[in-house]
Amino acid sequence: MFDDTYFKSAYQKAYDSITPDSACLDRLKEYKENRVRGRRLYQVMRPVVVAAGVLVLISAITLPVAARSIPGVYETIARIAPGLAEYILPTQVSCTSQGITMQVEAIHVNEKNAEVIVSFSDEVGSEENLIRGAVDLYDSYHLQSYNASSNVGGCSFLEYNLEADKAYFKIDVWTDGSFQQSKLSFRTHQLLTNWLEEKRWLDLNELVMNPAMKEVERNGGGGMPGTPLYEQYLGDSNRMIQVLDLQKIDESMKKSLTITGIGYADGILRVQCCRGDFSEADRHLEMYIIDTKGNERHNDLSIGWQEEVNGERYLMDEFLFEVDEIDLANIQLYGIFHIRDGSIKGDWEVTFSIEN
Amino acid sequence: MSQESLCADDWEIIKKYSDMVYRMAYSLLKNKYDAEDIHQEVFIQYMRKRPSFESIEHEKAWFLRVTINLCKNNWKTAWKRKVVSLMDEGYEEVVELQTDELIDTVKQLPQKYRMVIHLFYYEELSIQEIAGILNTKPSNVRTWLTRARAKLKQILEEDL
Repeated sequence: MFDDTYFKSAYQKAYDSITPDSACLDRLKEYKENRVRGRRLYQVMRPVVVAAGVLVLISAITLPVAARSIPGVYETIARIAPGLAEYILPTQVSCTSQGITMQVEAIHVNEKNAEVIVSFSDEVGSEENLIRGAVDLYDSYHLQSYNASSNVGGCSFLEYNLEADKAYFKIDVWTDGSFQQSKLSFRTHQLLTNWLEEKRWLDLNELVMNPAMKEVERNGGGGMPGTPLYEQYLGDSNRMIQVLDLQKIDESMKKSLTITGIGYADGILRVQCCRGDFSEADRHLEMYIIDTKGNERHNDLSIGWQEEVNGERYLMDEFLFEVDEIDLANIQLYGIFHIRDGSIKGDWEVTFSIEN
Repeated sequence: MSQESLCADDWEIIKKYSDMVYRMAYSLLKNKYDAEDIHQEVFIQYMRKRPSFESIEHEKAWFLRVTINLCKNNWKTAWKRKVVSLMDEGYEEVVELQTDELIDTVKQLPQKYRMVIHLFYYEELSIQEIAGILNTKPSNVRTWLTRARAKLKQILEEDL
């Protein structure tokens, strides 16, 4: 969670002061005025340009070997002759690291958009069952386009296919021009191989009336600006707030998503959870109640902070609902638990052509 | 699309988007010189291609998309990486702007996160609009924003 209002205001204020030098605009003005002159110069120089092109083409016959074997060759050529670099880039549609193979499965090119399907599966012959369900790349992937007009898009998980025993992802690429002779590299270095998304009912019999509270320093939160609840907890610069103090946070919560308390006081129902250590996993909770009329609603406010346990930081969230005390006996409470862990670090990279 | 934009001269368009392009480039490349290069390149592309736009939103999205693409291309070359590493080793103070501490903190985030942070908080684009510019699903943008905020929070606390 994050204090949106404060951050947005500070970020905008900081960036308002960043502007280009007037020299930037002067140079553009000069470029605009010289464009016609530049075209004329090119016509005079045309024979020289053609001769240089022939030399580059001859070199290209031997360069693929160099580009494949000498690190940095491709990047250098890409800088001085992008068209040539496009030609020499080697293609590799499969890559294995840490017992897991990434494979380009299919490429579908539309006029302005290309869709590429890649899969992750256990290496052939491997007895380990590392890929056994949905996989998250934990934002560790990187797309690199070798076509200047291409827009490198995104990558999203599609499905795990039990029959093929593969997890499939779709890469979307968009272009302003066309995909003629366009190559793309996709690489990633971390997979989260355990993926749980589960709805769990919370037992309101465990609710503590007028619970013990403690003061923490919030570092995030979300809610509807302008509401009394938002103004009370997130609306001013005071970052010290009261949260439930029902369970001690300890090491057993490091690798889990744990409900650490449900309490009620002053018209507010609170659910607290510990998200554990965030460095190797993504765990978070979505909270809902079903009220007396059967309506389902999301929490009215959420607050985030961190707790230190033996020198390590654990993420904490508390979800607040405005509920009349008289209705407490008739509401239901559930959470959707999102847990993505089972981190495997490796080095997977594929390079392939996309053409209209 | 407004008549004003339809009839606007190249120069009016350049002035209109100059700050936006520069700020976007600066947020991604983190230094003044690279941001200036990208600023030039974006508008040169515009003058060469002279794209037609269906709406003001389309026009703005085009400039943001081209800026982001050029930043990615700029960063990927070994030559650029070398330049960046030299700056990191001591020349940075020469080329860095005197910016707010917050910007320095955001600079520590990975490029992808800086991108969504800037589009969301500075350009005030919606999740849908950002997804359109980056050609990805809104759910991905949401995830990146969530993770960017979490990382930012972590950095801020470590700095305390």
